[in-house]
Amino acid sequence: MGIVMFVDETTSGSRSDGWGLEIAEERLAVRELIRRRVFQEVAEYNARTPEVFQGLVQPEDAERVLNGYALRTPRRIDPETQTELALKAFAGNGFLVLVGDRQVTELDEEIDLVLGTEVTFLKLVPLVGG
Amino acid sequence: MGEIQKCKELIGRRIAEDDWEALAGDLLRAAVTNNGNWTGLWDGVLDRVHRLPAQARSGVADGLVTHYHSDQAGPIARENALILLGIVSRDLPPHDRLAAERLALLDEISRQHSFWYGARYENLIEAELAAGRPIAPAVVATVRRSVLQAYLNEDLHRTVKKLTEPPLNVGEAWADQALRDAADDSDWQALLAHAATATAARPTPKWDERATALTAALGPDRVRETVLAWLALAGRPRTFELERGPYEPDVNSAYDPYNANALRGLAWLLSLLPPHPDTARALGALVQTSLKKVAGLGPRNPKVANAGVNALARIDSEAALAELARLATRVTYKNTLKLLDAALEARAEALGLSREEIEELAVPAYGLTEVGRAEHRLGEVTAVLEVQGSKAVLTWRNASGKPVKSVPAAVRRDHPEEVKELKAAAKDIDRMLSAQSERLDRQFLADRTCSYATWRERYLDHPLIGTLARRLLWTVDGTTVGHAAGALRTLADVPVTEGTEVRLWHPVDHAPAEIVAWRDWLERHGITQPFKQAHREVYLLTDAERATGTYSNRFAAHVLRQHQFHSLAAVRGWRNKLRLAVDDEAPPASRDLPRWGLRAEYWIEGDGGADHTDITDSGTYLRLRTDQVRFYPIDAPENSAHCAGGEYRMWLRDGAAPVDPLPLTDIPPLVLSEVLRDVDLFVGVASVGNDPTWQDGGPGGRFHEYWTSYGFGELNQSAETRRLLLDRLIPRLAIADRCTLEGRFLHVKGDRHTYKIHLGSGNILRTPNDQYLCIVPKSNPAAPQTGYLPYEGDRMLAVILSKAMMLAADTKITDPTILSQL
Repeated sequence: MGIVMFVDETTSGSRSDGWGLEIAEERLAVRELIRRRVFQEVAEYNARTPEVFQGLVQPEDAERVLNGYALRTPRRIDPETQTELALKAFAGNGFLVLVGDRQVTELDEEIDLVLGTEVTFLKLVPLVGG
Repeated sequence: MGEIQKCKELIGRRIAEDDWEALAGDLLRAAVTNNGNWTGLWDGVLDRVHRLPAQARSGVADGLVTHYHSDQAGPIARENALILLGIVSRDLPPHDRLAAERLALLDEISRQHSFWYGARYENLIEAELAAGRPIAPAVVATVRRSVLQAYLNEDLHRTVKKLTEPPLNVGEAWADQALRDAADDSDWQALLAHAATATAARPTPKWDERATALTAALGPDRVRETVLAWLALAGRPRTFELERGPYEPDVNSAYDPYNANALRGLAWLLSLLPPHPDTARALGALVQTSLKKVAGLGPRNPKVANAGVNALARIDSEAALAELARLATRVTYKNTLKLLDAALEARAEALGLSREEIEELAVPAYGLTEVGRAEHRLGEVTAVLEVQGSKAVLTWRNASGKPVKSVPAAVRRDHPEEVKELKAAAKDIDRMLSAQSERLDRQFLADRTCSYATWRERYLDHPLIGTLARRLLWTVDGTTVGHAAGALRTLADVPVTEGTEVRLWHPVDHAPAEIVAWRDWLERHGITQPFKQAHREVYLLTDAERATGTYSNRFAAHVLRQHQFHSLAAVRGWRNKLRLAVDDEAPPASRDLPRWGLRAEYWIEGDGGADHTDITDSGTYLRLRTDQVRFYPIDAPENSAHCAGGEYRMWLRDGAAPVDPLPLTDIPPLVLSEVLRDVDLFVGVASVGNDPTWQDGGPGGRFHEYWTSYGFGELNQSAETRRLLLDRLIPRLAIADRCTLEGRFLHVKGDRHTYKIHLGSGNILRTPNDQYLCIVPKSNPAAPQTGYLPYEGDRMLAVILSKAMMLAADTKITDPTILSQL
C-alpha cells in the first residue's frame, strides 16, 4: 500500500500543492487511476456541495466559471458519468497524464506505483481549423 | 424668412375672412414647412393665434379636427394637428376634441427616451390635464427626461412642474420597487420626492436637514434596510424597453436621468444615517455599477458614482474607509478616481498619516482572528471562515467537531443574522483580496520601505493581507526571505525573526541564478504566488536602446485595438485619451511615477485607414499604431500630437525651451523594467497580431505584413519564459522524439509534414515552404473538457502543446477544416 500524489501542473509552470490518495495495489491500469481520482473529487464535492466544482473534467450541464464549473441546478454529481467523461477526454487529448517523468498514453497500460509516485495531469486545449 | 412673413399675412387674411378651417389648414402647412418647430421668428405666428378671441380659437380647433380626419392628412400633419390643437385650445371651455388620438400619440411618446423641446409635446399634456385626466406614469417619465435636456422651452418646464406623480420615473427595476414600497405611505413618497431633488454635485445643509427630518419620521434602521434593497436593484435591465434610434446610445442600459438624481439623493441620505457595514458595501457596489460602460455613452452614470464616493467619504467608519481603499484600486474612470484620491488624502491628513499608510490601515480583518482564519461558535456548532488561495471559504462543524456539508438547521433557526453576516464577510474578503493583490502588484514602482515591526503588523501578520504577504518574497535588510512552515526563512530555510527595514522583492535587483533558486524554493514549499513575482518578466536595457539613447523602439510599429488598449492602460494606472477621428491633438498614453520624479510616455496614433472608415459609430478609431517609449521629468510640459498621427511636440508658452527626454541609461532598472512590462502587456493583449482571422491582413489587407511579422517575429519576455518551461516539459512527453526546440519555434515532425510552432503567437508554419496553417482553439466544444486547474495557467503554452500533440500524429487528424490545409 502506498500514497500516490496527484499534482495538477499548469502550463505556466506553477504546480498545485498536490493531494495524496491511498492506493492499496502496487500496480494499476491508467484507466483505474483516473477513475480513482475522479471518484475521490466527486465524493468530496458531494459531501460539501460547494458552489463550484473543481475537478478534472467539466460535468454535464455545468458552466465554466473562474476556477472551476458551476452546476446550472445544484445537484450531486454522478461519479460513474464523470469517469466516463474523463476517460473520453483522455482519449481525445483533453489532458495528458505523466507518471513520474513519463507520459502514459494507453488507458490499459499498467503502471508501477512505488512509494511516493507522483501523477501529473496537464490540461490541453481542443483545436479546430480556421 | 419669406415663408414666415407669408404665413403671418395669410393668418391676417383668414382672420379678416373669419375662415377658421382655412386658417387651420394654413397652420398645418406651415408646421410641415418648419418641421413642427415653432421657435425663433415662427414664435410670432403662434402668438398671433393665441391673441384670437376664444370663439375664434374654438373655430380653429374645429378646423384642425376636420383636417385631422381628412383623407389628405398624413402622419406628420396629424401629429402637428394634435399639437396645434393643444396650443389653440388652451383656456378654452373643456371640449375633448381628438382625445383618443391624443392618447395614442402620448402612448407612442412614452416609448421614447426623450423628445426635442421644440416638438411642443407639452401641449398634449396640458390638453390632457385640462380634461382632468391623470397622465400615464410612462409619459411622465419621458417628459421628465426631456426637460432635463431642454433649456429654451419655458412652457415645458412649467408643464413638468405639474407632474408630481409618481415621485420617480417608472421603467427601472429599483424605481418600480421603490414606488411599490411607497405606494400607500406619504412619508416614503416625500422621501423619494426629496431624493429626486438632488440635482447639485453636493448636498446643501438645507437638503441634509430635510433628509434627516424625513428619515427620523420613518426610523433610520427601516430607511437603511429599505433603501439598500432598492440600491441592490440599480443597474438591472429596464422593466420595459425604450425605442433606440440609429446612432443613439444604448438608452436601455443607461440610467434614467431623472431617477439618477434620485439615486444620488439616496446615496447622500445613507451617509446621514448611523454607520453600518451594509451601507458601505452597497455604496461601493453602486459606484461600480454606475461606472459600467454603455455603448455610445461610456461609463453609465459618473454622477451617481461620484455621489456614492462622496457619501462614503462622509461616513466615519472603518467599513467606509475600507470600501474607499478598495474602490481606489478598482475604479479607472478619471473623475471618480480623483474624488477617491481626495477622500483618502483627506482621511490620511485627518489622521496625520501618509496616503500609503492610510491604504494599509484601511484593510479590515473582516472578523478573521488569525492570518486567514477565524472560528465562530454559534450554539453547539462551529463556523470556520478560512482563506484558501484568494477565496474565503465558510465551513461548519457540528458539536462533535465533525465537518458538515451545509449550514446546520439549528444554526439557521437560532442565528440567522450571524449566518448572514458570515456569508457577507466571506464575500467581502474575496473582493478585498483581489483588490489588495492588485495594490501589491502595483507597489513595485512605489518602492516603499517599511520598518520591520510595522510591516509584520500591517502585512505579514495581518489577518487578511497576511494570506497574500506570506506567499510573496520580501527583502529584510538586504536579505531575501519568504514565509514557509510558520516562519520567515532564507533560501537555505534559516528562520529570520527580526530586522529593521523591509521592502517588496523584485527580480531585477538579483542575479538570475538566485531568482531560479527562489523559484525552486517556492515550488519546494508548495507556494502559489498571488501574482507574478518570482516569475516576473524582467526587461533590461538592450543595445538597440543604448544606441537610440532617449527612446525605446522595442514596442513600436504595432497595431492595437484601441478600446482594449484604453481599458488595459487605465487598469495599470496609465493616463490615456481615446483617439477620435477629429481634428484635435492628444497627449500620449503616460504613466506618472511620482516616487521617481518621472513620467513614462508611450506614443500612439489613430489609424482609420486611408479614408477613415475603421471607426466606431461615435467616431472613435478602432485601431492605434504605436511608436516609441520615452521618459521625461514628471513636471516637463506635456507632449501632444494630432489624433490621426504626426509628430509629437511640446507646445510651450512664453517661448520656453522644450524639455528633452531623459537618457534611458539614467532610468532606474526597476522602473524601466516595470514600465516596459506594462507596454509589453498592452501589445501582447491588444495587438491585432493575436487574432488568427487576420491572416488576410484585415481591412484591405493593409496589416498583412505587420500581422505576419507579429505572428512569427522575435520572442517577447513571456514567450522566453514559455520556452524555458517547454524545455523542461517536452522530454517527459510521449512525443518527445518528434519535437525539437529551435530559436523561436517548436519543430514537430509529423508523418505528412514537418511543422514549426511559434512560441510567441502559437502560429504554425509548414516546412520547408513556410506555408501558414490555421488551427485555432475550439470556442465551444461539445466534447468533455478538462478542468480549469485551481489557478490560471499560460493558455498559450497549452495551445502550443495541444497543437504539437495533434501535429505529431497528423495522420490521425479527422477534422476536415484542418485536413484541407495539409
